[in-house]
Formats: sequence, C-alpha cells, structure tokens
Amino acid sequence: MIELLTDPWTYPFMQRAFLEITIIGIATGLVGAFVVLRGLAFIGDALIHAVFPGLVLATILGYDIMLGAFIFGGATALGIGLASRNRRVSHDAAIGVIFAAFFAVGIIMVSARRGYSAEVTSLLFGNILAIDERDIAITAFLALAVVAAGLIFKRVFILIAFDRTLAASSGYPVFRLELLLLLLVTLTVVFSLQAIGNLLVLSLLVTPAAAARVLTDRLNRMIALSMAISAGSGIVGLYISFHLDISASGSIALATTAVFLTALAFAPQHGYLSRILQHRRGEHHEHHFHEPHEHREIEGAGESRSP
Amino acid sequence: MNTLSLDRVSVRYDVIRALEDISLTIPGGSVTGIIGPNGGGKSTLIKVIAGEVTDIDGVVQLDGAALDRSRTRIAYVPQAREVNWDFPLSAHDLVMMGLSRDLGWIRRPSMEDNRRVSAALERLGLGGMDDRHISQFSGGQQQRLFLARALIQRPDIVLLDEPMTGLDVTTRETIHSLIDEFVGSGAAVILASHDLDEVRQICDEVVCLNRRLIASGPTNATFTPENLRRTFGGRIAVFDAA
Repeated sequence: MIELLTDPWTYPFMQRAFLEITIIGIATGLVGAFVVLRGLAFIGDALIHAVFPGLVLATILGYDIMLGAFIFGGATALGIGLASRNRRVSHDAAIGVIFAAFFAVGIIMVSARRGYSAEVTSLLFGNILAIDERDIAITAFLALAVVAAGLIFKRVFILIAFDRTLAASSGYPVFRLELLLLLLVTLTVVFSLQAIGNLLVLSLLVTPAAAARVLTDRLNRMIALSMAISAGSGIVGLYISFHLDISASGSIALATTAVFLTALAFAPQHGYLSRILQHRRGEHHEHHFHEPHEHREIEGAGESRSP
Repeated sequence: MNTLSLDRVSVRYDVIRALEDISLTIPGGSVTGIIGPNGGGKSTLIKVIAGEVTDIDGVVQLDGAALDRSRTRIAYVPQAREVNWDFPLSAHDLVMMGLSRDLGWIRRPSMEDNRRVSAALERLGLGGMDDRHISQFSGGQQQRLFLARALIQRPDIVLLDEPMTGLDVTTRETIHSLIDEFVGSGAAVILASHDLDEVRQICDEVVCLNRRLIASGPTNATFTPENLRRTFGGRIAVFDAA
C-alpha cells in the first residue's frame, strides 16, 4: 500500500515533476485568489488564449516559448487594461471574439508546419514529465517573483477588488495596480505552460481559489487554502497520472475539479449538504449569503422610490 | 479649509457624456447634497472627486491646490447595491480598509489600529461583531459598517452615495449624527441622494445635476420648484406627490 505513495519518488522525472507542480501550485493558488476575488476568471481565460500564437511564433522562430508567450500575453494584458479604463460598458463579448480569433491564428500557424501534432499537444497540454533542472530553476525564479509581488501588494489588490473607489480616494494608482495584477496573471500562465499546458492553466488558476472561497468566509484562510488546494491537487494529480498511466495535466485539472465539487457538496457553511441539513433541522440561519438583497428590499419597502 | 472646487469638469464614457462642464465650489464644514435624475451624473461626480474616474477634462482642487489624494483623507460610503457582499471579509476587515491610506503599501495593522477598528464598530452599535462576515448583517447594519469605515478615516472630505436608501430609522439617525460630527470637524460632506426631503432637511448646500450643472448654492435659495423642474424635467410631479 505504502508503495503507491513511494513508488513514483524512485523516478527522477517524477521527483522533478512533484517539485515543479508544487512551485506552480503555490503561485497559481495565490494569484488565482486575486483573480477570483477581482472577477477576472474570464479575462484570465482570454489571456491564456492570446498567449498561444506567441508560443507558436516563438517555436517557429526558434526563440524561447516563454518569451513569445510573455510578449503576447503582456501586450494583451495592457490592451485589456486600457480598453476597460474608465468605461462602464463591459467588453466581455469583444474579448471573447478577439481571443478566439487569436487562438485560431495560433492553430493555423502550427498546422502550416510539418509534424505539428506533437508540438501542438505539448503546447496545449504541457509535458510535466519532460521538465529538466533548468526549467525548474526558471519556474522557481519567476514563481518567487510573482509570489513576492502578490504578498507585498496583497492588501492593495484586495482593496481594489472590493472597493475601487476607496482605493482611488486613498491615493493608490488603481489603474497601474490593475495592470500589475494582469501582468502577474500573464507571468503565471507563462511559467506554468511547459508543465501544465496552455489550456489547463485555468484549472490551477481559478478552480482552487473558487473551492477555497466555498470553504471559508475568511480572506487569509481563503488565500492559504487556495494555495494548498492548488499545490495539493497538483501532487495528487501526478500520483493518479503515474499509477493509471494517463495524462498528467489532465489528471491535475480533474483533481482540482474534484476538490471543488467536494467543497461544493460538503463545505461547512456554503455546501449543499450543510444547507440541506440546516433546512431539515428548521434552523433559521442568519446568513444572507445567497440573498444579500432580499433583506434590504424588505427593509426598504414603503420607502419613497426614486422619481 | 477643505473647500473643494471643480473647474470645468467633463467626463465622457465612450460617446456618452456623463458630466459636462461642471464648475462649482463645495465648502468645508458643511453638508452638500447632490440631487438629480438617474443617469444624471451624481455617482460619476462622486467618483471624480474620489479619483476613481481619472479620465476627465477640467480640474479638481482643494483649498486652491490640485487635490492630492495621498494627503487628503477622503472617506467613501458606496451605494449598498454596488457592494459585493459575498466578498470574504469580516466586519473588522471592512472597517480596517478605512486605514488603507495610513497603512500604505506594506505596513501591518498595529494593536492600536485594531483597537481603533473595534472602537469604531462599537460607536456604531456593532460592538463585538468584529469577526462576523459582512453578509451576516442586516441592511441598516451593513450601512453602519461603511460609516464606521468612514469614521475611522477622520476624513477631510466625506463622499456618501445614496446613504439613506432603504434604511431603518435608527440607522438614519446614526447617519445624521455622524454627518454632524464630520461637519463639526471641518470636513466637506457630500451626499448624493434621491430623497429630496432628506436633502432639504440636512443639507446646507444643494447641487442640482443633470449631466450639466443646473443650479448650486445654499439650500434655501437653490431648492426652488423651478430648479427642481429643470433638474428632473417633467418628473417633478412625483416629488410633489410624495
């Protein structure tokens, strides 16, 4: 039985994979918490798609794929930031359209080259088992920079996510800080690429933070949980992949999803099970989590409506 | 002191003109009510003063110098429906945000800061509820959480966006007495409101806004049927009936 846990560690490529996914998990868990709190999941998705042609172009031209990805991702982050500046109108549809097109361009560039299927597979789905020491060193360096920035700016990122107006009136450069967060997301996507792939990064960026949010109402606990779930699911996913001989990044993505679904079912306050039990026991729960406006409307009933 | 002035301020969202050519003076140590129809630019004006809307023409000054938000203490109480009550924050966390400016980028809150937060909650009748999640308060209590946050800022300028909408009597009275306190300390209190009776009662100055500045000045002189008609158009009948 214990061999199930120790076996993978006898292989150097698995040792490297465990180390790599732990580093990535810590960074994606932290940045992902900001992404979820700021409601940037969709923009994260767009960034991921926009990075793809950069990857392909770098491969074709013989540059480091991280460089290509970062240039395209950075430009996109800047573009999204500028487009949403001081606008009330949501640009969701425009973002969706443009980045699907970006992605298609990437696919066409890949398909125009011979032997594209192996390349496209590794770009899209990653190949954590082929990671070498140099890759780990680069990932660790970039992840450290991202985590340090995330922790330094944590309070300000949270302030902006919750109340942009107060952040601005407190003298913080809100717009530049929002760009910084988008750049941190881009950087995270970039250094996770080789291991987890272009598409499944989202499962490490959004799912653990979403699961953590269901599990707790406490901010710091949520951030810590998000990091733990991200790294933990990565490790569990690797074990599953090793023993069942299936795709590593797929297993990791499904491991985070399993944690999310479990949290949704069994979370102490917001889980379905606890809500059903509370309902059965007829407990009047003071909690307004799911209907924050109801109370106010009842209280406001009879007040004069606006002209 | 704390005299806020706007000189030819205009704001555009894409092609929509939210504010056009607004010039006005808001004195410190008094309450200024901003009234006008929905979409008339009340919230935008507040966000211009707060510094959230930065892409503007014209200038905003405090006591004759460009408003420096890293030096001026500006409190902001948002509309309740604009707040994300699901955000993972306790009452204590929310009020602590009032110290964001003082804490700067990385300083951690001290014991004294924590004590001040608890004291502000106590002051607003929410003592001992520091650890409760913000969604677990009633509407009136939620509004008081934001007032506690404003209080802890010891503000020079107070921005209140629809603070009275749908509130119980206790909370209204609390808001009124806090506003008095802010005014007493010399702050410029600015409140956007739909409630014309309330504005007439508690505001020293009134600004009538419908994208353009319709009128501004002392409440008695400005709160005329003619100005209200020009501000709200035909919809003034609703006010008369209320």
